[in-house]
Amino acid sequence: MIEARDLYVSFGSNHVLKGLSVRMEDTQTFVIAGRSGIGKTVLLRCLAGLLKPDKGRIYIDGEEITETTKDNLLRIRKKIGMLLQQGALFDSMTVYENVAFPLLYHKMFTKKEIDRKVDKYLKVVEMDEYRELFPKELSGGMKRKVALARAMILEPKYLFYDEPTSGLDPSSAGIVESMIIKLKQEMRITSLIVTHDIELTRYVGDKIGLMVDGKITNIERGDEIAARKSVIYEHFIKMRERMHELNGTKI
Amino acid sequence: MEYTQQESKSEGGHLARSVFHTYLNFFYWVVRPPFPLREIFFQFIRTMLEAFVTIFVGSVVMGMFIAWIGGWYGSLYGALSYIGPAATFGIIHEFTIMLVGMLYACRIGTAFTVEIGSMAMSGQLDAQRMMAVEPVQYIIIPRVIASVISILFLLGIAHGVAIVSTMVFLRLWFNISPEVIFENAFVFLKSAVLNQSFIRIAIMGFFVSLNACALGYYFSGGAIELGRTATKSIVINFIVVLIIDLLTGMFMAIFL
Repeated sequence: MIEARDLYVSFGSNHVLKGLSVRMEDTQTFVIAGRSGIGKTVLLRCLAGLLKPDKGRIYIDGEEITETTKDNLLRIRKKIGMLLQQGALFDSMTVYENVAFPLLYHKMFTKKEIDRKVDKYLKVVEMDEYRELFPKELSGGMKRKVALARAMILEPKYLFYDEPTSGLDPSSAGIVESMIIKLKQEMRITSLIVTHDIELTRYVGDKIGLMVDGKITNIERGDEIAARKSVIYEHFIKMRERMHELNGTKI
Repeated sequence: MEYTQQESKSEGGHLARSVFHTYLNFFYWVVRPPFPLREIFFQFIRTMLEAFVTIFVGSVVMGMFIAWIGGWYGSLYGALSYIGPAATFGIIHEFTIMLVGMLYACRIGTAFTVEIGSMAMSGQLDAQRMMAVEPVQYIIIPRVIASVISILFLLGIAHGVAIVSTMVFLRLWFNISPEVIFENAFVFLKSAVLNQSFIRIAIMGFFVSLNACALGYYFSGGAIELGRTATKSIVINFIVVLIIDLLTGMFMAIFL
């Protein structure tokens, strides 16, 4: 279980998180939705131990991570896989080397076992044919898939997704969505997704939290969003309409 | 958790803190396993290959410069027999150390800053952290250790090339035979001078590479900021090379 209690984060005079609390149960897919620039990625970075909140506590399986040692943080991070925005693949490595990297670094397996595991996860994301290509030879969607395989290779308990479909065309976004659903159904990985993509939210979320003004204001079930009878769905629709109003466009 | 720019109010403060934190992190992680032997080897080969041509050309030009000054004034004052000892002493005691330090800062230091900075910009450092790989161990420590080793070899090459270049251009421009140059060339050179030159360059290699890595590691921003950071890397390391050269030169002259 992951729990954040009363988190505050500021960048100078810009107060991003203002007493945010959230709790994520195991095997659930929790989606945090909100408009761009609201602080979703900041929250995700805090939960992953990449950013220290100014105030507040974060617990991962009962272990407090904001004041822990660097060694302990590395150990805790082995429980978490993360798909960063744009994938963040290593440019100088092939698809195979990117996915094998954490296993090679931690020297956890023999060469044969590493090959087998990399093959397995590249098959899961349907990228086994492209193992010798470099990231610059891949499309945006393919990069996300490889990054997803790399995030899963250490078999984490938790998988964090930072805007997994942003910047992708609808078909590539659909592929990434189906990967997330496949992982959820087949591997029962606990997932935390931050996104401003309401369609993604509808398809993959068990629970959806709406982030407004540095806090989670509403939490709803996925089926409520899917039925389009929810506060969160209304919020997104109203937000779009307001933008059209402000710009004076007729819809 | 990592130090981030949000903790500093000014750019100068951020610069000082990022360098300070990188030094702390370096010594914290260098004694912890796994020791990145394979990466050190790759970085050693890479720095040797990338810096070799720059330092070779720089040493040839420096030899030309010493040959011109030495030959011109040696001929003017009838002091040709002093050219050899003065040139070799100057080259090994001072000139090549400064030259290699500065060229290394330009060629390799800047490459480290931009490379690590773009990794930070594209999220590759965060990706490593999320795979329980400490970037200081995987990225910074190999580059710094490899730099300290490779800069020793590069200095040895620079010593040799600069002396040969001086000799060749004295012959070409002033028709001074190599026998005259080498007659007393190494009279003032003790092994301690040679050893001290290697100690001084190793210190420079350490600070230059660690500063360059620090600037890239704590980089935040876009392409314009990365360009500015690369410039900062050169300027800071130039000053650092001058300061280290002065301090180590003074220390070794007084105490050794």
